[in-house]
Amino acid sequence: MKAGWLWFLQRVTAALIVIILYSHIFRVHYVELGQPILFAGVALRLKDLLILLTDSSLLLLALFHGLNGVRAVLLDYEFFTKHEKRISWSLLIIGIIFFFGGVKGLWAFLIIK
Amino acid sequence: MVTFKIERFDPDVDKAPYFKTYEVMAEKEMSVLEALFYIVENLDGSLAFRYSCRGAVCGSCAMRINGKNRLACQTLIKTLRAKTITVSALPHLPVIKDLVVDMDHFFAKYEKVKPYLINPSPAPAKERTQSVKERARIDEMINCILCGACYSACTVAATDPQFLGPAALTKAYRFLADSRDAARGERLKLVDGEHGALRCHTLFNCAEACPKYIVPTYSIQKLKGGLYGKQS
Amino acid sequence: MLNNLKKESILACQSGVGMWAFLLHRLTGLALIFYLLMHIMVISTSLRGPHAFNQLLAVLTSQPFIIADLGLLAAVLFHGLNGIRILFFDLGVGIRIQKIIFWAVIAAAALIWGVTLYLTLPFIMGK
Repeated sequence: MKAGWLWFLQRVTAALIVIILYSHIFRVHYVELGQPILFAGVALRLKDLLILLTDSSLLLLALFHGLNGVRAVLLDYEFFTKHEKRISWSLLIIGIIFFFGGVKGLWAFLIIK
Repeated sequence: MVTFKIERFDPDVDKAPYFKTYEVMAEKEMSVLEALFYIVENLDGSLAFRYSCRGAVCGSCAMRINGKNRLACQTLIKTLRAKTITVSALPHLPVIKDLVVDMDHFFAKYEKVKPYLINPSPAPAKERTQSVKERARIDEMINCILCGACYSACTVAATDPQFLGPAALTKAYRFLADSRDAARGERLKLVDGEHGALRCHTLFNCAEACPKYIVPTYSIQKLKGGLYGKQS
Repeated sequence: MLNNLKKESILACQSGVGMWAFLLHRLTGLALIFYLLMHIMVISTSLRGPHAFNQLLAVLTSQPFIIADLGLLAAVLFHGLNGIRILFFDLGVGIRIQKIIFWAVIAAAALIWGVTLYLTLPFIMGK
């Protein structure tokens, strides 16, 4: 049933990403269209706990959705089916590294003055 | 005169497939299959192809005609609206000779989904009856003639040899949705897993190909729902 | 014994709009995961302080990158909206009108993209 869980989570994350990502893009790039993106501005925006949390969850959701998508693409091909375990673990590790890297990057805006 | 470009390939002799051109005296209402008969009788007796019923019932003569998988018997030359008609074997299947493909994988997967009624309860004296409404749910899927046009058109089946494919999955749903069948759990287990129903990416190539206008994707989506406990 | 599979591209399959939707979805998906990883790395220059971050972002908001961003937006719009199309199918909705839904997706994406192009044009033309 592992296939079932991954398939289901791919759908759930897709639905959430569509909502969160589109509002993220709108907020960051349309509302302040043409404004330079500056460290101080981002820091101010992330001070809002709600935004910090949605950005962090978007990071998690998008990484899962994207890397699980890569897994699905690879397993479409006979060549990669043989290496399913290795592929799954590699993608999981990439996901963990980039998630914590990304969270660290977001926190930096609040800590570094 | 209609020009037929036909793909020839005898794996025992030829290194690679090649196209051979034939000029066919096409009559009104002539089907592609009849043109193939004309070629065998008048031009080249060595051309190999499968056929049986000539009436779009047996599913033997599925082949690739002008870029689409079709039944040769069902396809009239005039509806193709082309001076040149290109005919080749169903793509992504091993060629036995010319237009004859090896359907072993197709039928192996078909057998995997147990394409027969499973109901351990003793049969009633006359027959297991269905209401009109119950039967209507499987009307579409029952039209399948197992020609392999959908399976050959399915990109996922072409790249992932373990994928069950549209025809087998449609058959699986045909019995799952049958009010007389009693093996729901078993059937769902057969289409579960990494290479079962969930591997379908809803490309609709199968629906484009089906000469009986079945939409296998509908059945497959119903199976996916069934895997998550949705009654259907 | 019999192993004479002809070499055939996956495009040898019937190519109705469903096939193109799938191919585009897959290509944009792969492009977007690549972008996401880049995006995370770019934002993480915050760890090197405001100066490094501002300097990098000044480069990334220059003209060539704005044009590239429009390509990115097209990918995001198609992948997202076609994703909704796929979600509908998974809910059992609209399977038999998939072509109409595909063109609706294209129309919606083109509309939003066009409006955005209009809004960003002044910045592309230089300012």
